[in-house]
Amino acid sequence: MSAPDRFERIEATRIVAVPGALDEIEAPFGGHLLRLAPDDLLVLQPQARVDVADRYAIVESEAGFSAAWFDRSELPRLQALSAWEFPRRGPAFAQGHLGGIPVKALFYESGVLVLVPAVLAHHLEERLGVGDRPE
Amino acid sequence: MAGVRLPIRTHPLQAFVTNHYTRSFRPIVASADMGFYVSQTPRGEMLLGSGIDSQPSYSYRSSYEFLSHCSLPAVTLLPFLRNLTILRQWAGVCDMSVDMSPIMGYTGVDGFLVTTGWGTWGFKGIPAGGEQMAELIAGDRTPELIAPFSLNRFQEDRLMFDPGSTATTH
Amino acid sequence: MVLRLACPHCGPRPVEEWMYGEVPDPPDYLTEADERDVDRGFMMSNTEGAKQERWFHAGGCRRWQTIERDTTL
Repeated sequence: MSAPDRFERIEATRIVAVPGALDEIEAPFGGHLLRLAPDDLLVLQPQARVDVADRYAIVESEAGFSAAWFDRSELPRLQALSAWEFPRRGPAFAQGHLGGIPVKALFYESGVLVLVPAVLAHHLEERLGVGDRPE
Repeated sequence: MAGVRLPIRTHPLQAFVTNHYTRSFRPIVASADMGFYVSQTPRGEMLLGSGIDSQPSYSYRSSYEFLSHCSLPAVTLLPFLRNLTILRQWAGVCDMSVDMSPIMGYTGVDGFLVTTGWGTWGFKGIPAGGEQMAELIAGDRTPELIAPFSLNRFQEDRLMFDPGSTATTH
Repeated sequence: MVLRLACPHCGPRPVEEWMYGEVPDPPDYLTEADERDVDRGFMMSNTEGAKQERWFHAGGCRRWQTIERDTTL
């Protein structure tokens, strides 16, 4: 399968809390969790209902990212646009520049889900050569 | 060494040249917006550069990220550069002062004077700077022309923030 | 050369993902408050060799990290 048509805006849930509380969530919740930083977790689910063991935790819906799925066959092409090494095995979460744009990526055996700040999505589309543009 | 603290940081500055191109490019083109400059050397090579590396370093090594960072605006603004190949790349180190202007004169330590912070614009300013420093040393008083560039301007809160004068892009 | 900085959270990442932050380090022999303020505001040790630095991982976890780097490499 070829590259996706477009990056699409996603609805997710952002949780900022003490690292220990986020560790507890990660384990039972399973996939689709992006640990952006020790105290910062992104759940790929709109209005996720999660118990956070931190009374000062901030749980907010997050609409600032766009996402697109790339099949496994696309990985070499994406890797060539990145100066850091992709994880060899999925599932794994990584973040860094892709084509000079900051992305967050969930790697699976079958491919990779790439998240990008929504305002930068059109730049990334251009650099990755995705979307139905005339040529 | 003399216990003098200076508002100076050492940064690499990189540049590269392409192969020979018909000698026809007269101006020096610098874009502060895109962060690069280009001119043609007397030998016909196109000389390209950009700002200093953002992190302080004493290294003379060239980097790939500089090459890609500088080439993108270059081929965007001047598409003919696309057809040239890169011949050489190199790096030097620059003494950058916090307000981007040089520091000349007394230091507070008897008999110890400085002329520093010339990073990226020494070639243009140092002939006059050298002459004025010689006058300072011989006459034991600071000439009017370089008085504003004294080290104590930082204590006295009269910085000379002047990146525009370097005509490059930092 | 590709300068890579090892982010404790994200792993080794190229320098263009990072922003450098200066850490004020007024020497102990400066004791007068005004002198220390001027030093904190403007002066630098400009260390040649290994030193601890603060870097902001803008392209990744977006956190300040303390990283040791050799400025001669």
